[in-house]
Amino acid sequence: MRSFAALIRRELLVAGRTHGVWLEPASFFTLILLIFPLTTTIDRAVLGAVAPGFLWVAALLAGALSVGRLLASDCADGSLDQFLCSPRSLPAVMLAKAFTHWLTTGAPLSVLAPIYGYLWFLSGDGVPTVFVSLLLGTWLISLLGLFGASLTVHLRRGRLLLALLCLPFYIPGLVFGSAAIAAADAGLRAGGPLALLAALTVLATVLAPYASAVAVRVMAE
Amino acid sequence: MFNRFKRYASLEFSYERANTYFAPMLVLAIVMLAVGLVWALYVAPTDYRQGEAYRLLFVHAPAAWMSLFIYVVMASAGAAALIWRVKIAEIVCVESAPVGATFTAVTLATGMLWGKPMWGAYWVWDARLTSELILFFLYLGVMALHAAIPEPRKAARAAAILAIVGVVNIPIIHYSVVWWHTLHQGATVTRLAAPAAHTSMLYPLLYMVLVFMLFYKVAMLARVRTAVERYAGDARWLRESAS
Repeated sequence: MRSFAALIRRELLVAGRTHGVWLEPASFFTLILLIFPLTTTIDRAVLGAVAPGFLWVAALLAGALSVGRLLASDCADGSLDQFLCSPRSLPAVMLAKAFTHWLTTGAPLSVLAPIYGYLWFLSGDGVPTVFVSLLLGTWLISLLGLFGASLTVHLRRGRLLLALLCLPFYIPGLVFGSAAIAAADAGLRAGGPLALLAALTVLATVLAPYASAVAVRVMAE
Repeated sequence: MFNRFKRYASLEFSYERANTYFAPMLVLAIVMLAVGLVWALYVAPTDYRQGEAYRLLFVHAPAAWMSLFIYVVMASAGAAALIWRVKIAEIVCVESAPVGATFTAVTLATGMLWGKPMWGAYWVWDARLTSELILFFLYLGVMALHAAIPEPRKAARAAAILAIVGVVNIPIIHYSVVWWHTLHQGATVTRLAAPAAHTSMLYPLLYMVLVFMLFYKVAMLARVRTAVERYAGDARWLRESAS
């Protein structure tokens, strides 16, 4: 447990000392949500109807594009090899990495997202549901993205490949997450889809660190 | 006992087997396919509601089953490759992906051709169609990852991991998409009670599944042969069998 806390502390320090790393995904998220109304319509009904999906797609892109960075610097400076050699469990290292990625990208983004939900004309209950749905969903995105990143970390043309590998795995999260927002927006109960999203998140929390650890080991051979 | 498995797992054994069986299996597959096509396209009765267009089913449904079956084979071979480091399992895993992707593409293409007269559109955003399309991209992902890694064994093992994670995800993706929206007709063959299709249509369908299985096997024999040549490089037994 202490080594886990130390790992998270290290990851947060690395993230904190890289300028702009906290701001990039949230700014990217904001820009995408700004571009959509500019290129389509500002009709209240239309934007409100597509808002759940667009908020999720924007969050997905922000998360999926930033996740490649997770292991790249560790691979470049040799820390990844140190993690492989250390007696600490590699899945725990992976979990710590996913957690800090979520803390620095997904969590701030989820805090911002209700504002955009409001700007995109979601009705009363839809706005807070955006926060809950994305808070769970971005954690899922970080975990699955880490798995993709650990498979592609050593590759030169890895970034686009990473997105190609991961996007199909994000689909269930997208379906349930946006359905929850849409249900709340329509005045229905969002508990069902949110519970399914939470179940997916729990499953990924248990399995993804192990899959990532196996991938890192195989790729380092 | 274990030695026998080791013999089966050796590249040399698989190479010899592939060399011996490829030609006869290919002939058998072509003959069986010809019989199957005649049976399905001429002998089987015309459907009461759908007319002649329903005959696409005899290609569509077996291809769809194969697309799922091959993914499971690929993931199982991938597990064997990761756990026991069996070279031939690595080859089976990697070489299955393009065959599976092709069956998935055939499923999508025949489904679209059938959809136009039946549903009035080539494509509808239906659960089964969408999850089949996602399956296609899962195959492409495995192929792309394998192609991106220059070392053959590492590439195969990375593809194996992705295939295993994919096989865990396929049911989740499928049911999330079903929950999202569905229009496709329900299962008419795999219901535990008597199948809803009449035997005059069911038997040619099951026969076509056999033919497709055989085709997969022939394709694998051909692919395994070339893959072993790449793997083994200049091993002595390979040079001897070539000369």
